[in-house]
Amino acid sequence: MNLSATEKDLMIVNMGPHHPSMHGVLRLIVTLDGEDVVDCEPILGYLHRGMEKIAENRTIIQYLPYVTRWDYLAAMFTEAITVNGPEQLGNIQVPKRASYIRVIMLELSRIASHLLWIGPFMADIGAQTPFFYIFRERELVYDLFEAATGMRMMHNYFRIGGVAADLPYGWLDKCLDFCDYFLTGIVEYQKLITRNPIFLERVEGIGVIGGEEAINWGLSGPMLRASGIKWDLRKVDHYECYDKFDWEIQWQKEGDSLARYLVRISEMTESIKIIQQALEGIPGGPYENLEIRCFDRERDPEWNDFEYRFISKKPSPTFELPRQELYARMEAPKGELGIFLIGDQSGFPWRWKIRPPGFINLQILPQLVKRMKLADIMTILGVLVIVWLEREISAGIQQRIGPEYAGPLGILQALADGTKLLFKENILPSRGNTRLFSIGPAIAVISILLSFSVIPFSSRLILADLNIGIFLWIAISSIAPVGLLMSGYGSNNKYSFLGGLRAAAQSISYEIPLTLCVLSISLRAIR
Amino acid sequence: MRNIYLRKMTNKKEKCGRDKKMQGRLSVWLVKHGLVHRSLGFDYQGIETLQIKPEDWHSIAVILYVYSYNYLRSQCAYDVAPGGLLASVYHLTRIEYGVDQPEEVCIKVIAPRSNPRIPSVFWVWKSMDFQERESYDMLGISYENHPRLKRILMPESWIGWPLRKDYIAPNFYEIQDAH
Repeated sequence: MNLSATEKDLMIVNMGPHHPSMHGVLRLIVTLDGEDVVDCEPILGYLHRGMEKIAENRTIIQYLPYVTRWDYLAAMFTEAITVNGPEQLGNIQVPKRASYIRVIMLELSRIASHLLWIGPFMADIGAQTPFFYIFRERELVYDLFEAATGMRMMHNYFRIGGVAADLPYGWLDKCLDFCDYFLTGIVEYQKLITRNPIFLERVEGIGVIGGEEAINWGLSGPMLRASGIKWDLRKVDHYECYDKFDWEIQWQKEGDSLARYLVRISEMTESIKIIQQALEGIPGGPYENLEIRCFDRERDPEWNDFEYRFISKKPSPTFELPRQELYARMEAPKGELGIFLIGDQSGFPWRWKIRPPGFINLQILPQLVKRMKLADIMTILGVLVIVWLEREISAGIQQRIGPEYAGPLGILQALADGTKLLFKENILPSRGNTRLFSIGPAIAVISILLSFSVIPFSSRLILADLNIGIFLWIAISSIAPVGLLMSGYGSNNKYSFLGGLRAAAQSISYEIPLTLCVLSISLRAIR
Repeated sequence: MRNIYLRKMTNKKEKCGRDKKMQGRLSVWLVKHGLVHRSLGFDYQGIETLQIKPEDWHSIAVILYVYSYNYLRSQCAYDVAPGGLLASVYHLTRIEYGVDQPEEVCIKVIAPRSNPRIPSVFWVWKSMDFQERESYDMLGISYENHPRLKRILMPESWIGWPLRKDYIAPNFYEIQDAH
């Protein structure tokens, strides 16, 4: 297709990596011809944290707090996939009640994620108000989560074989109330947004992708369902207990951004339906399968071999991943979240590959924005729903050598700290005695450092004959309280003055008994 | 045809005895058409696993696409043993209308560590774009014919392949688990 060029050269614009309004870090290098986008190249990696490499050195329980930081909008899904993998590897049965609780938490998390998607998406398009409304509902979800798990966002709630703790008394009723309230909330969003002509102008027909192409590009989740493919892992894989509930896959046919928006809104309604059915049907029983805590492998090492002597970080007896591999997946609100897990007959996995939905959904961005206007990039980007921090791998993180190793004999840090004391005050009190104020700390530090000069060190830093200098040393080090008094007085502030007086009194109260003791011993010794 | 590559993982197939492998349906079909591959039995969920040589991969990829495996869900790479071979793993499945528990297959392409070059299948399944770049970035497997094979997560000037087992993180003054 021939584009008539409006300008002679194409302009290359850099968007990012910083973006306002909860977008995370993504750098887009956009090639523009006037206002039409010719090409767009996303550059990633700004928030690469090394999750996969870290996973190779953590047991599953140790790794759970990390996984909630992948996709922080919907933290329950990341935890669920982290425990699902080892559960499938170990053939661990999850009790019914735990399965129902998990489904309720997952669907609440899905609602929370879709809500938080709508806010910034509408804000990018130009409507700022939904941004506040979603947080109103999301706070209610946070409250529910906090009551059950203790944390609003990074729950660390799922365990291999169930959940960490049972639901508190009265939680089910609160959750039912939330469902009823939320249905009215969705109606409000529909009234505000869905038939709004400005919104439709911005969003209809933007970023169209057909079904075949969507499959080829590996899209998943609402992106795929908006293009006419009825593919939902909850129905395809029959995991957890989704089969017991009566719900439908939400999908649309057009494949543009409006379709993706509609899919997500109706998914929220379906989630409420699932939650209500689960709350009504939740059985009693255990909430965690404690059988997995029976370890039958003898772990005592031989006396005096390496394992016995090397006293360092050893994990406590924990679930051991057998030497198998598998690919576990689930339907996260962004798409298909998967884990390819290779176990190594130890607590740590050999390879933990995360298949992040946002990363793979992002690949299609250059294709989608061709021939669109510049302003449509934000629409398309918004509707892809990518959580930029989702998961990454890292090599060298910020590491520096510890303070006790810096400099010759490790004294550099201490010297720097002392020198800092002389220069650190860059605000001088205008009405105080500036000379005293600046000199005070110097006197305190210098006298202490000077007192080292009279300590008779012999070769190899051994104290030599004590005859000389002991009183000189006491004399020099007693100048330090004068410095404290000077800085306290010069600050023109009665509290600082009191503090200085107190510090000086403290130092003197050490010096006087010290001097008296030394005096008596020296008098005895010099006879 | 016998291959000499090491296999680290023991699969369920071990139960069937060493010489008689349980061949999955796809493996049987491939053998029928005379395509060189090696069946690795099944992984823990019962998904068929095949091992393919790098030279044959691009033709077998097209054949699988025609066989209607149209959805490549995830591509992963790992090292089979520290200092050993590198494997690139592809999980394929089929999305069709009204399908329930569709067929899946897992393909492993194994390359030597000294010269890891595997043909890129971006032109068959476009979802390989970022995923192959990530395997290149993290493990150093170079994919031929990939349109933009450059580092995606690490900065462009980084030296080394971070996710290999023998990688040592520079300027890191703690005990590292490099094999």
